[in-house]
This record gives sequence, C-alpha cells and structure tokens, in this order.
Amino acid sequence: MIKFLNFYGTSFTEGGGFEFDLKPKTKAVYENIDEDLTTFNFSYPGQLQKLCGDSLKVNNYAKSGWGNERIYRMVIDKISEPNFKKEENIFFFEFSDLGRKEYFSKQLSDYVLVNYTLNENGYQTDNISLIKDYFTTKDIIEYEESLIDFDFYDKLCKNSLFSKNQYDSVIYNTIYFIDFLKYNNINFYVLDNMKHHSLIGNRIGFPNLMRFGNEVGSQSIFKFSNFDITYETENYIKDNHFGLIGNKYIAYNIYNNLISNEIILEKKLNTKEINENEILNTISKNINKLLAI
Amino acid sequence: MIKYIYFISDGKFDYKTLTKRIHEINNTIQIQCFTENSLNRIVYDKIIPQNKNEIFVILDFSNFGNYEIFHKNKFINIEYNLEDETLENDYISKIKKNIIGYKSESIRLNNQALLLCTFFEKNNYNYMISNMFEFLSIKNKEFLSFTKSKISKTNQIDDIIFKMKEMKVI
Repeated sequence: MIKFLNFYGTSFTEGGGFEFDLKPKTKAVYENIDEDLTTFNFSYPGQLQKLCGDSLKVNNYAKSGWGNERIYRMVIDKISEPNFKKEENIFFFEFSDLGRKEYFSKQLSDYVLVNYTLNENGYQTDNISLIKDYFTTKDIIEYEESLIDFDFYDKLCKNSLFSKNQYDSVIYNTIYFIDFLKYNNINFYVLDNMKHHSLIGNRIGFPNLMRFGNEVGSQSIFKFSNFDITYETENYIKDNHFGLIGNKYIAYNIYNNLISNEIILEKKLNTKEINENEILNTISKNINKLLAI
Repeated sequence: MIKYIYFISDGKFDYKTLTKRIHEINNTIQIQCFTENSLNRIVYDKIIPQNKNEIFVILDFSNFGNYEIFHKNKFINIEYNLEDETLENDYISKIKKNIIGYKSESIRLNNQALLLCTFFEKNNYNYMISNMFEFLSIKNKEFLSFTKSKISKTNQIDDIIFKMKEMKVI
C-alpha cells in the first residue's frame, strides 16, 4: 500500500518564487488567501498534500537551481536505505535540461552547483554562476564564498563544459537511471518530457509519462506554464515559476491521475473547484494596497 | 554467438596480455579495449550501438584513483591519491585539491557500478565484472544478488580467463 509520494526536480517543483521568508513583497501579495504562506504549501506537491489529507505523506525533495545529477544521487540514497519499502513509495521526477552541472567542493565537503550557458561553439564562455543554496542567509553565502576558489571553477567550466558531452551525459545517465528504477520495480512517474527544452526527451523516450490532458504537448507539467506568478500578479512580480493557481491545477491533475491508476481510491476532482477568480481578486486587492503605500 | 569482446576500464589494465591470453584459446574472437575512460561514457559510445547478441563485455571498475575530465578538446584521466597533500598550483593539481574528495568519489564509484551493472542485467547483455567490489559499499539487494555469478575471483588475468571459460565465452 502506497504511503509516500516523493517529488524530485528543480525550482518549478520546489515552489520557486514563493520563498516568503526572503521575499516580503511576495508575502504581502499572497496574504489573505486562506493558504499557509510556506514554500511547500505553495508548491504543487504541497497542494497535492492538501488534497490527499493524512492518507498519504508528500515529500518534496526538489531544490531550486539543481539538476538531474542531484536527483540520481538522492533517489539511489533513498532506495538504498535499509528500511525502504518499494511498495510504499512512488517517485515523481521533473528532470532538468542542460545548463546545470554539479561539482563536489572539498572545502565545503558538499556539492556545489554551476548554472551555465553554452555559446554557439558549444563552450562555456561567460562567467559562471556557482552556488550551494540559492535561498539562504547572506552571512552563510559570504562564508561559503570565502572558502571557494571561484577562478578555478570558472576555468574548470570553460575548459570542460562542452555541449556534445553535456548533452550525451544527460542522455546516458538518464537511460541508466530509468533502467535502474524499472529493474528494481520502483513505482515512478515522469512529469516532464523535456520537449519544451530540446530534443533530449525525444532521444530518451521516457516511460511512465504522466498525462495532463489529451491534447498534444500535454505530457508535461509545463502545460500550465501560462499560470505563472507574473500572470497572477498582473506583472507586479515578474517570475516565470508556476503561480499558486498553476500549482493547484498540477496538483489536481496528479491527484486525478493517481485515482485513474487506483492508487487513491476516491472520486476524481473537477478543476473547476479551484477558486481561480477568488484568488486573483485577493491578489489584485493586495497589490492595489501595496501600490497605494 | 559471441564475436567481439569489449574490455572497458576506468583505470589502468594490462589489456595486451589479456588479449594475448584470450587469443591463445580462441583467435577468432575480436577484442577491443578501452582503458582509463569513464565507463558510463564508453558504454554509451561504444557498447550500446553494437549488436548485443554478438558481444561480451568485461567491466573493470577501478578503485579510487582515476577521474575523467574533458580538457583541451579531449577526455583525459587524472590519477589521484586522496592522501597526497603535496599538490602544486597547476590546473590539474587544483582539480585534485578542489573537487576530488573521498565522499564524492565513493558516491560516484558506487553509483556508477550500481547503475551500469543494472543496465547490463536488465537489458540481457553478456557481461562479467573483473573484480570483487572490495572498495564498494553497495547495499542494493537486487544488485548483490545478480552480480554474484558475474564476478571473477580477482581482477588477475588468470581469474578473468577462468570466469570467461566458466561462462562459456571462450
């Protein structure tokens, strides 16, 4: 019997944009909606937790900025735990595209992340963005930065990140990872076929793709990318992460998929239950108040 | 029928002697060796495109000490010693100093072996593993079970040959 729903992915799954402790303006915009103002609750896994109630525990292991290498590591770790029971767990993956590479930092004794952009020749040329945690306090960032040799990492990326290698490694590592899950009879769903990014998804041919409707392009949570924070705050906050309404739509769809697959034995929910207009009106009122100050 | 043997290793190996010994037993089998390469990459580049019914793969997972990186338009193998504290300030030494640590290498080597062996097993490849995983700490039950019959006693050439005979490859 399934007890745990485990989510892995990037900021789009973590609840990116809703880091309320560090973003007072965002907090003020989303007040009075009858929602707990936490990143988890505003993410689609958090919204799914509300729909599931106490019958299932939703774990959101996604992390802003990070990519597939972290997913492989963490999932293998979880599956290897002595008390892990595959019959009690389902895994959900929002895989990332190129542009994310993790390295180990001996100085921090932990992994650091490079977000990179390759130029037309296939190499990294611009200055890199290197970080351990996007959303942490300034003093921790300053301390960690003092330990890291940025010039070295910059040179490392310029020398070693090349489009064909990175493209190939995303493909083969994902193939090995998916086969590992299948061989071990792990329950899993893929929430994004990567088609919006590149041709990677076509090459890998993901199994267990969750559908979010019947139309073309519906095999991805990014079907709801129009419902982003920019949209629901009427451009007051420019952020292309899913807004609260977008995350509710995704959560409803996942919930109904789990009912179709007889994992949840309840009646399907109608997305019309999402009080979209009420949420938009409250946000609009909050923004007007802020503009009047 | 096996026509080709692929020996792949992320460390050093005396593949010339291994080739000679195999050919003394069966000189119709063609042997390709790729050493000091990332196994993940070599499997994708060289093994997956082959007809799997015609090939036998020997996976030689090295112990700590080898790290592959793309440098100056090609992949190079960096040999390292985790206890070496006399590193200089050149680029390769800085790689060893900054990003190659016990924790990360342990995770990398474990996960590489776990994922690759599972890939071979799931896809019904003919393969063997040329060492005992003494350096690994993989606890996955399926892995420990299916690899049992695939591992040679040691990674010495005599033991590899013995295992190949046992598996009726040569």
